[in-house]
Amino acid sequence: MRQDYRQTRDYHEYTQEQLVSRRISILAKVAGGILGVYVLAFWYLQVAQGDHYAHLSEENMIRKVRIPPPRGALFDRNGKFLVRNRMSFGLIVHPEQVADFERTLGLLGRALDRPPAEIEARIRAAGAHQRSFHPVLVAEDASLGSVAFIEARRADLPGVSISVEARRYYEGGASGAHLVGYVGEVSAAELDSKRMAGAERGDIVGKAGLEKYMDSDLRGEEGYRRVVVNSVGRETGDLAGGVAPRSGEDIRTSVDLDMQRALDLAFGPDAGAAVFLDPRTGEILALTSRPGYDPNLFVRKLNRSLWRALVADPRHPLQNRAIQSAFSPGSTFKVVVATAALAEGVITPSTIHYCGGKAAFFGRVFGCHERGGHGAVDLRKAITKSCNLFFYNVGGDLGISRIAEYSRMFGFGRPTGLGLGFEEAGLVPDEAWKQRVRGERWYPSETISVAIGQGPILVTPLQQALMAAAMATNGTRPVPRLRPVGSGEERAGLPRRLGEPLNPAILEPVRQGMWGVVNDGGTGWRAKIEGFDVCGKTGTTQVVAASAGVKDEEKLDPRQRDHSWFVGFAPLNDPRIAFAVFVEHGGHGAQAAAPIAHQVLQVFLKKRAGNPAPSPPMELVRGVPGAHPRLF
Amino acid sequence: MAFQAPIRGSFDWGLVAATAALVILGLLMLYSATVSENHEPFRKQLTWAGIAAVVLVAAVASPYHFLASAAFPIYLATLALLGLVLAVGPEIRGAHSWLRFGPVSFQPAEVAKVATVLLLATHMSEKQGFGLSLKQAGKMALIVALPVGLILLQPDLGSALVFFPILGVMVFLAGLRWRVVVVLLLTVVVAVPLLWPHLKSYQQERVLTFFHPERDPQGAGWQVMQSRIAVGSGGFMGKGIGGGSQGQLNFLPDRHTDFIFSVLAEETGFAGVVTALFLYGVLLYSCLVTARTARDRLGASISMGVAALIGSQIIINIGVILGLMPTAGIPLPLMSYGGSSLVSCAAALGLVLNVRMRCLVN
Repeated sequence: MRQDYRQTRDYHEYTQEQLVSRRISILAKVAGGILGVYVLAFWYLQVAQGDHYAHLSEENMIRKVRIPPPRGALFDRNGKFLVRNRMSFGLIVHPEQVADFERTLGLLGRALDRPPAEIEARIRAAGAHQRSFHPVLVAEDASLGSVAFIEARRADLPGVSISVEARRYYEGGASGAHLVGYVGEVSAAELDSKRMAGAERGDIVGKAGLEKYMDSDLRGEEGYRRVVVNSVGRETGDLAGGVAPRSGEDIRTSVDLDMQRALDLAFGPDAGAAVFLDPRTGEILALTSRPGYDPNLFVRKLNRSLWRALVADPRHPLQNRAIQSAFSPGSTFKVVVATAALAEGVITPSTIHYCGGKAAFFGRVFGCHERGGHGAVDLRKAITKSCNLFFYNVGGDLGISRIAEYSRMFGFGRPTGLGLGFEEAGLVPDEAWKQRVRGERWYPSETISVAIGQGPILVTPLQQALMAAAMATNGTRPVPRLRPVGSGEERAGLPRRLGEPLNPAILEPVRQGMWGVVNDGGTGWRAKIEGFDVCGKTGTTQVVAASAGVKDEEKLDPRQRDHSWFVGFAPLNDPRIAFAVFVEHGGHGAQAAAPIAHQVLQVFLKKRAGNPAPSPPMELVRGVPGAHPRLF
Repeated sequence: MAFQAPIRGSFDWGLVAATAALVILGLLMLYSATVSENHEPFRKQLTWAGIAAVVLVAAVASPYHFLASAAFPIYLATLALLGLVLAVGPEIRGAHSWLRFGPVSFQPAEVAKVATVLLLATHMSEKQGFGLSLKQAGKMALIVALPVGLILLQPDLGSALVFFPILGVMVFLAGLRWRVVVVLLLTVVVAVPLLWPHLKSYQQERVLTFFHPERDPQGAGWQVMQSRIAVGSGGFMGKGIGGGSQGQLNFLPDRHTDFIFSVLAEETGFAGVVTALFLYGVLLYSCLVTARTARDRLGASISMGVAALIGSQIIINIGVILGLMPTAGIPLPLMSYGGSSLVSCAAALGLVLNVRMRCLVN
């Protein structure tokens, strides 16, 4: 029987080979198919989505590095620096570039005069290890000596570099601190505010004073560099297309640095506030609040304990008393009452009242500070001798409404619009106020107190200086300003002067009286300058009733002594300067406040004569003790 | 795919040309990717390329039947090397994968791949008739299991993985009875949960990250993302050799080893990618043609084993580059930096050339 060919070995092998061939084809198709899918996938990624990934790749490697702009400087009216930028050196260690760690730490320790272990701890605290390329700042604001030490050993110190950055430097130290203000790192709340648009964490911005209120001009605009970074953020090169920062504006202020220093120097350890300004323009020449603080201490990271000490200080050094504190004006208010009485025809310059030391008004007895009485007193004598009885009578005749009306005309009872932050409005009491606040009617006897500046009336030192400026000129008061007239910074919509002009004939007798206060046997004789015709009015504000009967101020606890005012202008004809000096617990105005005005006016006068007094040395301008930073 | 059977046995110049082109392309990318290391790996790889050429010639020189007769001793020797590496191999990146002889170090796992292909092919040629019996299948599985087990102990998951496509292709060609298929599948199903706890945590992480890339945007997921950015930003013509920011600025980890193809894609673009894939296609095509035309089952099995070895590594490596597969730690044949991989690829391709050359000789 013939064997079936399908049983042959050859056929069997043949079918086997066919089977294997078919399976190889299948595998070839699978492999080809996968490679085909890969080509499509690459097409999708590289061609279809290529632009998207090119963008991602750029985002990977290109970073914008901000370049902070140099902050603008502040000048005084004569072009002297109030605030400038100084160079501050930092010592930076790049751990990965350091060849010999021990040796480097040793040399850094010698340069900074600190134990090497402390520097090592600082590097560790920054989270850096010895191979890290992240730079670590090991010393901020290093002295020139440390920097020179490092520079001289540059070859021995690979991986140590010196950074330079601009820092604020306040020429006056504590002098003028409340005026100039200070800077600090922007806070979280500020970052959200509109005013700080564009600011980022860690930026230095104005925190108080001119630094704050001129911040948008001073700050400038930041620039940036475009750099290439690798996967761990190390910069490997610069790219074109960066933007240079725009420096902040340098601003000339109306302040006179010499007068400012003289003012702070004159105050000594006393607390208080004072404002000197040009009565014609409202330009602030000097403004102080005592005690002060040294803004140089705040320029970067705030020292927590120092800040707490400042906030907790019972004398409140951070408060700007010139605009943020209101006090009774005391006898300085008699100037306002006199002007009102003349304008309203209640008295004439020759009206006489008799002062017997005390008298009863509306069932209450009111005394004069002169126990024996001033005798027959006319307006001029009432002002020069500061007779209370004369003004009790005048005030009683005027009534509280008219006193309040003229007070407001002189700018009391509302903020002055200086633009230096929160301003206390003060208080001008009248019948409506009493009804609203205390819920009872005004008693006529209260008018008698207000007539001599006691009672509920409250004024700020700046308001007082503006009142003096109004007396100096024509009865209208200037709007206070911190930039000189004509510097381009005219605040739109605000008039240059406020209030209604008064008849010179009405003002003149009061001005004559103020001249007499200083020059004709009056209470303010300590402010007299020969040939300058200083005009003023002293004031004393009782702190506690206990002081009322005590003749010798020196015997009183300083905290129970009266506050002391001296308000005025000079010279009598064509006045160039108006001022208000307030000394907390200074005793009689004549004793504490008038000599301060005297010293500042002398500097003003000498400078006007083209004979400027040399600025007092910085160390004498007292603020926070030991507060001045080392200068290199 | 149609196969054109060569009229007579010949030297496959196409395969040699594609191999040489891929090695040169790899060296070019290696040169570009190692600027920061002063091209040191490039110089080393250049030396290895010379060694690989010698090995290729040696693999062609003696008839493959002669080599096959020595398959079992060679296999045993590589098992010994795999044992040795566990005992004395230094720990590098958490694994004992390297043996060092003076200035030369190599991975026994790469040698084991070729030796296993050879032994499996020898085993296949002894088989008669269609289909594998359970016993035969078990024997093949054992041949694979020994090196895989030793490699997993290193541990080197990627290298161990490559043995399975080889086994799979061999079994597929031989044919399987359904019974055997079921047993093998069951083995896998049982093995995975048994092996999973034994994987190193970073290996588990790789697998988990593949399924949930958001798990680890900084680690493995980051690597896949950066690779995709490198590939995509290459565009059609690439950023130019040495101009790839992803590679040059270190955004691509392992850029000269497992991710060399990303560098190629970034710097030479879609054009370069298609060129390289075409060359790999030529390589695989040559292996398959050789398998079809081999004069005996041994030659066909060797060629298909090599095709499986090289093809699976290409597919897995580029799949990882594209983000289609989890990061496996498998080098790209002929292009990735690494002497052992290059030399073992050269030996494998030499065997294919050997088979092709002798397809008609009796």
